[in-house]
Amino acid sequence: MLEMKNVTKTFGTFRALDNLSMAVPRGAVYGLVGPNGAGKSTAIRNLTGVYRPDSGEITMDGQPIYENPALKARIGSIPDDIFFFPSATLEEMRKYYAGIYPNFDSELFDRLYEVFPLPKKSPIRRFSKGMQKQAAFHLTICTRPEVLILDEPVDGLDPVMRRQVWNLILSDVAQRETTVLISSHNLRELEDICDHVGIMDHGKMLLERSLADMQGATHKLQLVGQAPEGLEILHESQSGRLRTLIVRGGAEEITARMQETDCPYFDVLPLSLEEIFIYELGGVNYEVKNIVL
Amino acid sequence: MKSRISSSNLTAFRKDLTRFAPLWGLYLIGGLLVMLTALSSDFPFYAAQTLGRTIGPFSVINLIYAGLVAMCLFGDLFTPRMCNALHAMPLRREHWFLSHIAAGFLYSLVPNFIGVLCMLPLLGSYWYVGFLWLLGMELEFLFFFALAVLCVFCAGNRLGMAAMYAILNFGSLILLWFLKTIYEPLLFGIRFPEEPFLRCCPVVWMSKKRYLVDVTIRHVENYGSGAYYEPSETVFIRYGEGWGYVVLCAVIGLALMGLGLLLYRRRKLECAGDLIAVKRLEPVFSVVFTLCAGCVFALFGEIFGMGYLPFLAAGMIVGFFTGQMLLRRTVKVFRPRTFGGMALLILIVAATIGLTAWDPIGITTYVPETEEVTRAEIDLHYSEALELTDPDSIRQVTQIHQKVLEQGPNQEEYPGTYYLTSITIRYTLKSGAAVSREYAGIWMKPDLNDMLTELYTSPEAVFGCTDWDTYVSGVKSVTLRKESYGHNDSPSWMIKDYPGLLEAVRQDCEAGTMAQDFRLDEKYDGICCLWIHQPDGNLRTVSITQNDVHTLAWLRENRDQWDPFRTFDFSAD
Repeated sequence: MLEMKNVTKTFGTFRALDNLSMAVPRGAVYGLVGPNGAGKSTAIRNLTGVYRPDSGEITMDGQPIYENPALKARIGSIPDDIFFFPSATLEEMRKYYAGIYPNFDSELFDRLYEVFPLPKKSPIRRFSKGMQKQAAFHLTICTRPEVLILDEPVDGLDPVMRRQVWNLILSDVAQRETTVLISSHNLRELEDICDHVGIMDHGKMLLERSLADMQGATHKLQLVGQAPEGLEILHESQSGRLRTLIVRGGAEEITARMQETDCPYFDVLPLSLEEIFIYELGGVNYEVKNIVL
Repeated sequence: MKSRISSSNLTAFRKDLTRFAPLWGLYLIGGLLVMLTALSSDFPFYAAQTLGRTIGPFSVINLIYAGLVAMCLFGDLFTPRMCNALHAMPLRREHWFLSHIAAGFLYSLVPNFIGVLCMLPLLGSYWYVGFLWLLGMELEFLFFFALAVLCVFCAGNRLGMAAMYAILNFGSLILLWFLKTIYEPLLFGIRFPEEPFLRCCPVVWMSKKRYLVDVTIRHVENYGSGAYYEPSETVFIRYGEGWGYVVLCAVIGLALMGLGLLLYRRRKLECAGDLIAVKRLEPVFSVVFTLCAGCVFALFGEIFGMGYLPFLAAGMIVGFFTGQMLLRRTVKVFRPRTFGGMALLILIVAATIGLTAWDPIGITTYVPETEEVTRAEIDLHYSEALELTDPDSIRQVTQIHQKVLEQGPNQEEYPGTYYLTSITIRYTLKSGAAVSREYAGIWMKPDLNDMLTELYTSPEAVFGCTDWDTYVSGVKSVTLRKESYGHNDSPSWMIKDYPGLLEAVRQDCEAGTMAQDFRLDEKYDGICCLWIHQPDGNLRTVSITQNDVHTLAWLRENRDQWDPFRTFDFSAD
């Protein structure tokens, strides 16, 4: 299990992580989401052992990750801003990774040329952004990591390649129980992939639970008439006679409460991850604002 | 089974070696071209001698090359993208450090070793000089590389690293320049000694030292063909004094490397891209940058004759805010707190300047008591310096010193034919301490001129003796030469009765006409000079002018003894 306990990280006077705690279960596909500047990338850099936290613990299977080559060899990470050695080709980077990572799988690397048809001898710096991302995947997957940490993994990839990459990740999870942590703003894609979600804001973890629990804990209630008392309403809107409420609570619980009323019409609908994100952050003053230009 | 950690180290090490191959390739090719060209036309002995003489000057090349190597190998720390990517990999910082350091050494060792191998045919039997050269070069490189590595860990980007490297290497010279530009003009007569500052500038001190010197050769005598001939195979090459300093620097380099590793372990990688990586060094950088900028501006003020103080102040203001912009990476530094910091710094510098000018403890006006002094030296430049131990002579020196202080630094031009001179006075006190003063631009006013003439015409000043009888009895010979400046090929006459001649010279000393400095005698027209073979074995020359009537009278009266054929011309040269 990948775990952060009460981690604080400051840059000068700016507190990027503020007593952040999160736990990524083994074999989970964990989606780390949050608004811009929430601290997701900083959290990832702490998880990969790049930054040293000012306080708190960052562990993998109970052992600290920072300056621990044995653990880092089991972690593969693809940052949003990828680095390759200048003028290095894919084959040269392969040799480098093979020398650094003890579990590097050269056979898999050769097989993955079918998935990532990249030039072997051209400098990677001449690749497009999407091709560079593919190259990063190509190399990182072959290190056979137990934990895969991805920051905006499919940004810049075409739809076909995005599907390829997700399939590859899920296949790895299924076969090897790889733990995956993904940070992305594309919540629609994450919803299809992740089974756990953590929502960050201002360096803190606002909400962290399995996707099923999260989706089961908040629902959209469409009704005509008045809502009963006692419902925790996160958001309310009206279109004609139809009112739409975002309500915290299980579907059965909300249905039971509505049935007690004489409401002529109501419907309890699940929320998408994107809607949960928007409405949960609306509670911390990060809602969508109506701006008049 | 091979350790995966060591395998990872080797991968990183191999990458370090190949990543910047063009750099050490260029160094190798450039070095070979220069050295082989310089040595190719020489005989092996002279090739070895030339090679040995390059160890000192090559410290400049090592300074530049070591800085470049460190900047390249550790450059991943300066770029956030590269820094984060490499430090996410399964290698400890110590492994990265050792890999970079080992590669860095090879960047110097391999090209230099190849160079030595190529030079061996040219060195012949002096092949060992090549390896001594290699040792000297590597010791120099070790120091500069270690210093550059330390700068890497104190800085967050290449500009900061280069600036820090330059300041640490030349900081003592910058400080000397600052003291000489700002404070020395305020201290009449005081000159900051340069040697301690030069010793703290390794590249300057290394380049001045000799490493392979004092070659004793035995020429093969062969005048037949008249051609240039090869010295004997038996050559003794002695180690010069430079090895002690360069070994000391190398040891310091090892310590600096240890310090660098400590800083690396504690380094916060998020500082990549910042000017200074260690927050505590930011005020130091700010102060140094401000003072350097002030110096540059003050220098321009001096060059254009507009006074240095206003330019110093302006330069410090510009330097302070520029430094803040570099540190904060923004132009928005004009805040009340920043102004406060700048004002405090300027206030401190102004206070030190004011205190220096005021001189409350009287450093500039200090003249030791005659009883405290064991030896006094006075040097008018353009003439031989006098070293005086006689109490009367020492008292005269202190009086001259007082007179110079009375004239002061701001002197209006004196009408007449008096010269402008520099006077250096050094006292060695009974306590062992030394006091030195140097006064430039001193007009030789009549009273000062008289005091100097009286001193310079004394027997101690002319002959360097305090006991006349003992001196004369110890003189081995006196030769008279026609050229007043005593050239070797000028005609000469041996004086047999030199005690009589010396007595006449002594009378001229008492008459005050024997001062051996043309500026103290307006009517200086040299007629001849005496070459006196002194008791201490040294040769002293004493010029005789038309004013030295006793000496000239003795020479005329005793001419039959020393010039029976009347070949000497008593007219001036």
